[in-house]
Amino acid sequence: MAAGLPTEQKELPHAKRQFDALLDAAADAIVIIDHKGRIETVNPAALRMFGYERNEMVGRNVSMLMPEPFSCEHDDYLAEYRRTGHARIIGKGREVIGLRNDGSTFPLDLSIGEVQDSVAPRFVGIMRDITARKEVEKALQFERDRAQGYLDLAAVILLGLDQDGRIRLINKRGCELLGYEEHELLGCDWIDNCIRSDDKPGISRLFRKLVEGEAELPDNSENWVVTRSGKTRLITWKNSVIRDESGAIIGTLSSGEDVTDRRHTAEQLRQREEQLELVFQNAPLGTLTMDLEFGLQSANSALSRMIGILEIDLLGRSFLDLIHPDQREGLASQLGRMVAGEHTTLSRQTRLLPRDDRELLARLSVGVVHDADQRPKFLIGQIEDLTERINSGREARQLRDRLTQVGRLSTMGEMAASIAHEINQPLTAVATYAQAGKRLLDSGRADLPDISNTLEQIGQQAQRAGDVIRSLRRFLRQRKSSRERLAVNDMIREVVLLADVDARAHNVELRLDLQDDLPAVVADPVQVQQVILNLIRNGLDALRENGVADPIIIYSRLRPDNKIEISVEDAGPGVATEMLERVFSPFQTSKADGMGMGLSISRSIIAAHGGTLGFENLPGKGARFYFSLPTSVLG
Amino acid sequence: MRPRETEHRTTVFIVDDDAPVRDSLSMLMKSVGLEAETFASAMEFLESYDADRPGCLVLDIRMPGMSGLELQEQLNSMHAIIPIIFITGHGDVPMAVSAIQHGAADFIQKPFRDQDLLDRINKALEQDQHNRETLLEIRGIEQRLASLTPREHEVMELIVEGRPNKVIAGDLDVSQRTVEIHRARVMEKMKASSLAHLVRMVMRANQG
Repeated sequence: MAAGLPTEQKELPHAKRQFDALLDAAADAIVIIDHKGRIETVNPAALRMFGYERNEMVGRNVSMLMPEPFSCEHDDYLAEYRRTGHARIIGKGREVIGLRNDGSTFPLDLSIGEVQDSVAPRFVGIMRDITARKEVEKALQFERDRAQGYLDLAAVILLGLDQDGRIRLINKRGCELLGYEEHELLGCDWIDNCIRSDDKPGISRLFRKLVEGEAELPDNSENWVVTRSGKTRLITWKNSVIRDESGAIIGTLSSGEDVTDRRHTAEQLRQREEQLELVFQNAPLGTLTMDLEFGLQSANSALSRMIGILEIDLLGRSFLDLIHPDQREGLASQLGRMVAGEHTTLSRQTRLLPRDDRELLARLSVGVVHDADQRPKFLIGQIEDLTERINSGREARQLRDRLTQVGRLSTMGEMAASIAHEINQPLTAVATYAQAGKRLLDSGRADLPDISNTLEQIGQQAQRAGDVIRSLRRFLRQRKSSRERLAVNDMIREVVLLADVDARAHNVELRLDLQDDLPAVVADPVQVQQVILNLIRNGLDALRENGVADPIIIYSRLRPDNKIEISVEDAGPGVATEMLERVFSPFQTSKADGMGMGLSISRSIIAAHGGTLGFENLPGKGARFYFSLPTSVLG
Repeated sequence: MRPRETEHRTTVFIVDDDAPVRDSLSMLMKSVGLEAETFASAMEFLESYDADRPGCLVLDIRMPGMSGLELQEQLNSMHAIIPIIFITGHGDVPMAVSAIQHGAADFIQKPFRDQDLLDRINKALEQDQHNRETLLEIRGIEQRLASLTPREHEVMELIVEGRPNKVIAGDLDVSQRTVEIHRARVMEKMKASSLAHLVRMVMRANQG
């Protein structure tokens, strides 16, 4: 540290006096040193600042005013400056540390000027104690750090925008959410960079209007932001505007919360509730909720249908009203014990009392719904109508059994073919043995053992044929013939279902022409359906073999003799003249691979039912096969 | 040309899986003096089949294992000439039609009249005999043709085409006399009684 003063002070006594006065009056400490660092002049402020008497300072090296290590380096620094003219401080000023007489240090602002002299340069140092300023600065920094800490700790996003919409403040949470560093965001246009594309125009317009004072900033808002990785997050904002002293808007400050997940969860909850409501309302089982005193709170449409009471009329009524009186008390005590926590669910058969006073057997299942504190809240119950289930189970089983039997019948043709083969074998042997035996006898070459053997063979083969017939009878007898009161039209419709598969395969339509309100017949449904199926199949075969695809029509009619006539009409070639006599005889067929059994069996079935099976060739083309069944006059 | 019955007697081969049917058929054959052999399956027949044995085959169309139709196929692939009469059951008509299309001699439905079957068997045996005679005749002609020298064969083909000796001599660039010598040789070796006879034999051989 150095300073220079002109030596020719005597020539300028006025200037000297002025200078001394200035030194004395200066609030800043002023020290002038020579080129070797020796103190030549100090002013009173400097003496006060460092705590020395003038004589303690003048003539000593200025390094006395600096703490280690600066004091040692000062001489070297001066020498270097003199040699190279390279200065670090001169003309610039800087903050340095000062050392007082009492050994304490303090911050000071130092500026240095050089005084060029004929002999050697001097240096003037002007110093200001900045301890107080430093303290304020430290306090300020502390406050700033603390504020930043608050911002960073905040669980919400804090966002400050200037009136141009540029980001002026964003906290750590905000940076994390968006995936940027703070410095990348500061100064950037918020709407351009962070708002979902679709929402940009709207928000941009709103912001402009807000800054121009044409719109109020909503206290709360919500929008989708886009993160660095392109994901969108839904943020709800609390907003405030920042104004200058004149009241003009210079920016906005908002705190935002990421509600994406919460919204998602809420949406899921809502959907779940909706689904539950749908399940409840559309459950095939009767479903209800009731309070702990068994008052009905809700009922679904299945329950309403089951008991014939409108949902609205059920609400508020006691559930026990729906229960058969004999069972009310028992059920009430069971439900009571469940509410009391003795058991969690209840499932039992119950007799219900629907409005029309039928009695309805049902399975009732009840559970208790608890609140968060495990206190029983309400009861939820399901009711299944067992009468319906029992009935439908029985009907389905019956229909299935019948269709199986009819189906078995449709394989009758195949069965007949194999039976024919089985019978043909022994018949062939019998005929051949007999004829060979006769030839042997006629030739006169036969001996008795030969003839005896042949006759025995004939007997055995005849026996074999008989066995086949017996097993066939056994097979047919397996199904006992039954008699039921039957609706003819229903029977026809069932068979048509079966035959329709075949018919469609051959592009033939099965058309029904059934007379309504026919009296019931008493018949074996399976056997009668076998006959109908056989007639339809014959019709289909006739059409197919002759390349015709006209519909087959099935009629039901009540005849004047009070018998029901069922007929099957096809547009095939009709029955050939040479077949007319033998249509119903066994083993007579016009089909290439037919057995000639169907019509024969059919006729016996119908005869056994007290009806007749007949046919006629239709004028033009086609044939009509018909049979009659007596109606059940006796009921 | 009466080759049969020296080594082999004409036989009716019966193939049916049903023993009583087989046995009664065999008895029927014997009752009219026909030789019969029975087989319980198609395989059994194939194993003992000898193409040189004259006769006919009475074959059940439906059999477990190899069916009658499959046996027919096998025999066809072996170029067997034995006539086949199929025995069919009720409703086997489509199968029988197929059998006829593949060369079966005839078919008969069970149960049948003995005379109907015997008539068919007799017809089949006649056919077999005729087939065998034709076959022998063709083989004889082929043997004789094989005994001709290449030059004689050449001359024979021109003769059969109906060319006069003079033209043949020109075609082959030999003297007419040489052609006449060759011609005499051909007629002699082929045992041809006339030009017409020679032409018939050559046509026969070409057919076979």
